[in-house]
Amino acid sequence: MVTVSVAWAPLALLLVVAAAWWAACLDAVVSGGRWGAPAAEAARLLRQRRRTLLAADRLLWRLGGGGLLVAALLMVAVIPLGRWTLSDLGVGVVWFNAMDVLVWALVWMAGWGANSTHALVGGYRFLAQALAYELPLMFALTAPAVGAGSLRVADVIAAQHGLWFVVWMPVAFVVFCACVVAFSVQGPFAAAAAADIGGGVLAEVSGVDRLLLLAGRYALLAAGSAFAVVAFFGGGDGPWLPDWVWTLVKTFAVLSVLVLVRRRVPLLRPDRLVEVGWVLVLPLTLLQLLVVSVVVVVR
Amino acid sequence: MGLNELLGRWAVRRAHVLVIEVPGAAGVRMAVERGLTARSWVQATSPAEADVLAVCGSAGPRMSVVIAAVWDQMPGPRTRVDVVGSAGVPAALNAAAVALLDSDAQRSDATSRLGSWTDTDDERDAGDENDDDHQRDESNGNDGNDGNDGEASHGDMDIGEDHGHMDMGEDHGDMAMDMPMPGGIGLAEGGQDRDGLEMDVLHVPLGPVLPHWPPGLVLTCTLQGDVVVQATAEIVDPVAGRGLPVTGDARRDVLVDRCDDVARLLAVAGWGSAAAQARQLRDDALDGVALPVCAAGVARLTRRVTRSRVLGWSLRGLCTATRAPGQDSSAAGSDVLAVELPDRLRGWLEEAAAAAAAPTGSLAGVGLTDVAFTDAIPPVALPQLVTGLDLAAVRLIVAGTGVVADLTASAAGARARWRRTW
Repeated sequence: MVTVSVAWAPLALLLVVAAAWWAACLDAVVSGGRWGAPAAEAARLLRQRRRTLLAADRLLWRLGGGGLLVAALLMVAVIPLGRWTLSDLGVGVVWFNAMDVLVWALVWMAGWGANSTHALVGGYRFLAQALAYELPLMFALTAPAVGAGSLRVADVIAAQHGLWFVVWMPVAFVVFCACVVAFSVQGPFAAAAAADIGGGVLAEVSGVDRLLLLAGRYALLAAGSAFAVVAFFGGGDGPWLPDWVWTLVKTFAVLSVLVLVRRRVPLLRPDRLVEVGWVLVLPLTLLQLLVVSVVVVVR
Repeated sequence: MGLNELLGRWAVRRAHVLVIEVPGAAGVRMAVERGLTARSWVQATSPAEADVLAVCGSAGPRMSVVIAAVWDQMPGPRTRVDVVGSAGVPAALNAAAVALLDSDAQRSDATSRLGSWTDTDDERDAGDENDDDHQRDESNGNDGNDGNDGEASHGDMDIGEDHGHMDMGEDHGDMAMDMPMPGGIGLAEGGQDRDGLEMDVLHVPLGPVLPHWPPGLVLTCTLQGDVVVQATAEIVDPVAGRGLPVTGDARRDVLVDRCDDVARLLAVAGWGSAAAQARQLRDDALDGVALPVCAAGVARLTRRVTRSRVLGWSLRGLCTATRAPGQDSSAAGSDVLAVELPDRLRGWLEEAAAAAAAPTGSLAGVGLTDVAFTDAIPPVALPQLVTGLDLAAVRLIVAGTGVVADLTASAAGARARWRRTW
């Protein structure tokens, strides 16, 4: 694994934005719109004025809105593109997990900062949802780390040479994908931004603030998909094509599947989600982890 | 073409429209929704999101006040269209698109708002104002150079600038005002919640402007967290009748009404694609698509909805009220039944299917209530249904209640009957 200079970070950001853009376009098309819909939406939001509210906690509000994109970029920092990586952290898997926990704070701040009831309820909802998905997500992430015997992302990829983790860790993979959708506040996990509370955390944002929030959500989905590729699909592992192409192809494929599948499921109510998350999904994930651990010990 | 104009042209391809349905204008609202779909425009969920305010029907005195407040919260560029008849929808939306691109008008609109706020702004906001003015000057200087289309004021429209302050009073008006606070907002009072813990109490009106919400309904909730501990409900500016579109065929009328109900409940349940499918069925029925084709569509939607275990899981345990079949509000001693929302949804779909399959002529034979006011639930019945539940459940229940209307003809009598029954 080659650690590249931090000067490449803009390229990483560009790739994240490109993937987010792709997800938004695909989403628009399958919803019956045109490919150009995200471009039109971006133009609209660039043209719209920003909003100021009475006694809003402006600092936290703006941080929450702009932070999602930053969190997505920080996630991507530990994900290798083929053999190049921005940061070959020894605890890369934990880093990714820490960044997704950062999303808790960001969405909450976006809801809190507006000083509006609907936005605040959106913030509450995200915390309730996060409580439901975070533990399953952590244990789903633990499975590849145990399988590789390392928290370094490069080692996780190397350990999959010959047999991708998705083959013998299917439960962890599915749970991880669901959690990616959940921390991107999308699809069935979009209760924090749902129409029934007037858009929730989105209720009071307009203009460029809204653009950042919406882009941040797609960017998180893209970053999560990229991590699914390195944790379960062998990263750049594949025939004929260069490894970096494989990483990109797989990432776009996982991202597309997530966009398509999440539309088929209605909203999951956060107040009822905790029960499912802890009583059903968490034990399943732990069982998966047990299987992985036994395999690692026996082998 | 300058950058501003280019952005504007792209932007109006996907304008977001806040649709406000005045009581008695259901048909106009449906027509506007269809107009939006045809243009690939989007229905906004909040004033902050919207570029266009579309008022369906003629607003009464109280509704007008609310609409003015909502208009004030829209960030701009913004425009308002009033649609009183379904026929005027295409023209109104065209006018909206033109108005959004009219830089001169948008600029003068923004300037006039700026003046009205600077007088009343507190110190902090006034500081921001100056800051923004500075930024705006800079951006105008840059934009002025690309005005090669000969329009003097082109490029002067301040884009993405922050001088809103449009939400004063609206969200906070109902909070306790006994303690002066920065910004003039009082602290929320405390109160014991359902677990006996001290928790802030907020008084929040839901409606009358809320997506997928019965027209004119205001549910004033006392919230602790997002749990409704107390509520009162009323209809703003009630009128007799709902103003449903008249197709000339009672079967289609029922089909349209039920599909609209289904679409609303599915939208609140957060299943956008299924809600769009239901709305498409409604529009097909309005367009005169053959009834067997509609019936097949209803069957497809029914399969999709009943197969979704997630939807059942979301709706389970939530109850709304309905009248016993065959009873109407004017009949003495009409029965009130509790219905679970999954059953309610299935019931609507069954009625839609039955209407589509019914033989020509009267619907009396298939046991359908007509789509007038007879199955309406009076607003006084709502508080009992929603107290003690969280906002998500409240929204689902209200969406599952169908028609909420002040039964103007016999309002007092109906209220008395509801009190007795409950």
